[in-house]
Amino acid sequence: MSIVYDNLLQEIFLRLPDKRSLIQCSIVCKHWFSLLSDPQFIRAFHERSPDHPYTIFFGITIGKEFIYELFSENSKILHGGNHRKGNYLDFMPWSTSHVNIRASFEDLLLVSHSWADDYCICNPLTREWVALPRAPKSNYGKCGLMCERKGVGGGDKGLRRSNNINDQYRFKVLLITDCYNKGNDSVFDGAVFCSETGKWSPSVFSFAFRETLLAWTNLICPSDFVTSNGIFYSLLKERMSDRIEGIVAFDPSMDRNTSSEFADPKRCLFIRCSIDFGYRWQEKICFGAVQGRLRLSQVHSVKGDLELNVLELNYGNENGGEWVSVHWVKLQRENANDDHMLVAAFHPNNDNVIFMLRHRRDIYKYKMREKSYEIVGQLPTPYRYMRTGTWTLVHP
Amino acid sequence: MSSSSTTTTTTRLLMLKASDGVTFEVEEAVATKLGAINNMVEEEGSEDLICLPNVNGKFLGMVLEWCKKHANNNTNSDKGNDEVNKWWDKEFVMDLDQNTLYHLLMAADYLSGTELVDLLTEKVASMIRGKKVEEIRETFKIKSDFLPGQEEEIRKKNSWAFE
Repeated sequence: MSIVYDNLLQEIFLRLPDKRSLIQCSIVCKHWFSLLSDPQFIRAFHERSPDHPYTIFFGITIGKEFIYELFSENSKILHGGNHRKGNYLDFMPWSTSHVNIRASFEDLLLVSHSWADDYCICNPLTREWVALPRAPKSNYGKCGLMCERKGVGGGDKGLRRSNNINDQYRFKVLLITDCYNKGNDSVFDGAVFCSETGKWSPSVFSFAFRETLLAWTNLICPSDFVTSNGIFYSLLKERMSDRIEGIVAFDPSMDRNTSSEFADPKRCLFIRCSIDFGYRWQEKICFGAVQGRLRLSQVHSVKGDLELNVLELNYGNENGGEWVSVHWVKLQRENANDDHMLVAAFHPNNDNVIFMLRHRRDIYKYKMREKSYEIVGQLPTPYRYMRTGTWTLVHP
Repeated sequence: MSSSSTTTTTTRLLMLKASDGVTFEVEEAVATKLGAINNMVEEEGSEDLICLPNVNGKFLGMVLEWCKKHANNNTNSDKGNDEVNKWWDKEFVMDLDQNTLYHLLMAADYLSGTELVDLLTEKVASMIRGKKVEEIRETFKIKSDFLPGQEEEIRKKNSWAFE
């Protein structure tokens, strides 16, 4: 075996059935270990896998502890490591208790340090990461990530010849640090990091009140951003209210030097979607992108019944789009107290499937067209509350 | 191409010379199943003698035997060909000893015989699949060179994979 070149050995390892056998083989000898731990190899291995595996990270609070838990069993095998502790990011340069997941895009996560203005982009499967330069100061800044895979030149024999995230992707990170009113405009201050320049550039986005016919006093982006087709989308609400007023779309490609105080108002578009989510609104709304379309779901209580509504943004009218309902259903309760049901995530590859959480623990897969559901997993213990939601990774 | 008068049915013959001087005369259609030879033929055109300093005669002969079978089977265009090829491939790799297998794999890789590389890597993979670590080491005569404790550490960190 020692005469066989490494590239051929890796071709052989690519034919092993799963991550489990890779790990078993990795302890045969040091040489095999190094070949099997090579990030390029791991990526190539998952690219061969026929069923486009995906991973959903749940950010949950159990007791006093905030942890990330993975769905599903397959994902746990995929990510390996000491998954019992719910610790999938232990390769990061920071102590894992300081790592916060902020956004996901394809197989990458945007993570931030819990108290410094530091951001990293990482791939939990290949355990690669790249640190961004120190970001502009922000107390409660919100952010989003978008990436574009770079073409890989040369013959692709299953193994990509690239060494790190910077070589594989062009990416942009949007950070909004402040929202305020100025004249008739709602203004968003922030910065865009672009991997091409390697720098954060200050960016100001704004839209005019008159577009919305409402004069708000204190708007905020209450959560991190969703990305779809090169646009960042953020929910928008009044600071003191539980009502989501709509979403705002940031187009980072229309970047320019903002020497003037006001940016081009077209750079940011408001799309109305007025729904009152009530107390603990974060748990009642799920906002995400499914195969290039933007979806919003809501579970709410109407006269004692729970209703599930899934909306999709229809692009293309002059107001930037309107929301149409793709699914509406009354949910059955087991008893009067059984009101804890929420949409946890959209299935990344199947627009007919959403994942729901029930009893603060059980993960259900719900097929909308068939109106059928089945339990597919369970969190280790019931969570106290879903602090920051879920992130979906799709492995190439 | 030669300037002989009858052009239609004569197939061109190539001489392949292995590292140990052994030569093989093969039809162009057979030899060009190997990507490397195909490139040389296209580039050099008129040269009929091709030297292959990285393959010895034994393994070049086996690679060409495989090419010949596949080239022949592919000329009769009936549906059963895939089946025939598969069956024949199975026979081809069944009784290879490990040393031959590796040299053949290296030769096939050097000659860019993609399909043959696929066949042989699959064969080696089948020798790994379903085996325990100790059995893999025994099969391939590999000695663990981890320092004491290192292997245990990896096992412990990935205990789920060893359950």
